[in-house]
Amino acid sequence: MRALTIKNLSKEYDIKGKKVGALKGIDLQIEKGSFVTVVGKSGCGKTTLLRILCGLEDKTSGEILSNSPKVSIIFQEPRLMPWLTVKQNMGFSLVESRDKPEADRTVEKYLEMLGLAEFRDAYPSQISGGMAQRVAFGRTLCYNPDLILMDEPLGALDAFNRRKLQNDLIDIFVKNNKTIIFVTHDVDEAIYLGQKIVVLDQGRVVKELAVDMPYPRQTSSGDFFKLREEILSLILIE
Amino acid sequence: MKKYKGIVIPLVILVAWWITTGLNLVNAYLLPSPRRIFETFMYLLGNGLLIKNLAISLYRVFAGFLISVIIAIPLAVLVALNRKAYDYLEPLLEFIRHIPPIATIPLLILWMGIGEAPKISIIILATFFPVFLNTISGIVNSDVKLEEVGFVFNFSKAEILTRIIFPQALPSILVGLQLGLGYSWRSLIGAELIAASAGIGYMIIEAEQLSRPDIIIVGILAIGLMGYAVDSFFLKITNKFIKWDREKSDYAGIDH
Repeated sequence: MRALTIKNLSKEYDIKGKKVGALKGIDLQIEKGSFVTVVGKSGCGKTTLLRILCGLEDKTSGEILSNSPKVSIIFQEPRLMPWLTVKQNMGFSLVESRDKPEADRTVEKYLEMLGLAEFRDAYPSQISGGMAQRVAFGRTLCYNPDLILMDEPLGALDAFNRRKLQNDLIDIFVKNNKTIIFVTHDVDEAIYLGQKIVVLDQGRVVKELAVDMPYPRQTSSGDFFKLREEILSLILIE
Repeated sequence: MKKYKGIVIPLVILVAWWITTGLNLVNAYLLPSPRRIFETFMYLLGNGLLIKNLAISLYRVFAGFLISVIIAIPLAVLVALNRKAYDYLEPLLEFIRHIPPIATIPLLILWMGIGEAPKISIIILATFFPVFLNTISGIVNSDVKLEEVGFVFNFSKAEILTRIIFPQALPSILVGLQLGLGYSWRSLIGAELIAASAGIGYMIIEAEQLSRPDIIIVGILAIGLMGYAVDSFFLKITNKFIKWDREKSDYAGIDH
């Protein structure tokens, strides 16, 4: 089953009367239940692609055929509501839901799963950056989208928190069978997480690579190393 | 500890006052002794005059404040959400903003007589702008990044407004209310000094005509204490609503 088919997607920005192409004819197929990472330099169009997929920006041309009615995005920053507690932030999308006990059970489940139960009554200003991003994950999981887009969600974290959350992501992904498109400029991260890696450069898909190493992946293994060299050589060509 | 520090200077002033009046260093008619002030205070409390006048002033402040808020907040929301409306209103508002409400008292008396209407109108004029402008700035400065969160969770425009924009604007709106409350006291006393037959401002001006500086001083102290009490009460209530905002910054209120 396809979660998403993107055909010849283009996006142009008008900068002082000059047309600048951010995406130039992207073709992509995303399978349901797959973890796809999109890797590229800053300015290669990664963020634009995600923002178009979740409707925050309009495309200039091309087609997006979606089998995923509920799409949501996790941003680079946690973007929590500072006036709500951790628990209230997690359930932010569920407040209007009719089945309150069910909504509450969902929030509790993810509070436990993400190790946030102790901090349920804390405000965002009282928790660390890694913790806040965890809450943002939980908030999106509670919303239960068919397709989760992630825009460098671990980019602002230190190496320790980053690895921990990467492992959590794999854990959640395996447990819940979510379709994820994860954008990053970190080649190692793209290989560590993705079942498919899409290499993006200057608004074009340069290559799609399937990764069939089992989780958790060894960053020091030969396969990992070869893949990294291959991706770097693709992006570094000018 | 912080609490006690604030008492030091008033205490020093009180002692200095006591000594200068006790040693007859100043004319007792110009500056009555603290003891005399206390006696007058007890007397005015006993015959109910102080309470009556304070109650009337308080009533005017709250009536005017309430009417003003009911007009200012919805209007500000409308204007903040329609930038075009603001273009029409901005020059006019900027013009009116610079007119001290007290300057309009003669006109208001001419139009409405010396009943309650001109006093409450003065308060409405004084309170309107801080509430209106702070509400607008709270809404206009709402973080687009947080609004996007609502968008990706498929919120309607109304939901984004009530669940993301309003809570964000709340601290700013409350600052406006607090400022407005302070302004309303000042302008009310001004109005009562000019034309009134009751209220704390009236009590003061009548005392001047009766040559009773002790009553004037009791009136002044009562205004200060009342303002302080109302403001503290207001802060206490509002802090509950915006605990998240007040916890990150040591907020103490803004005033000009």
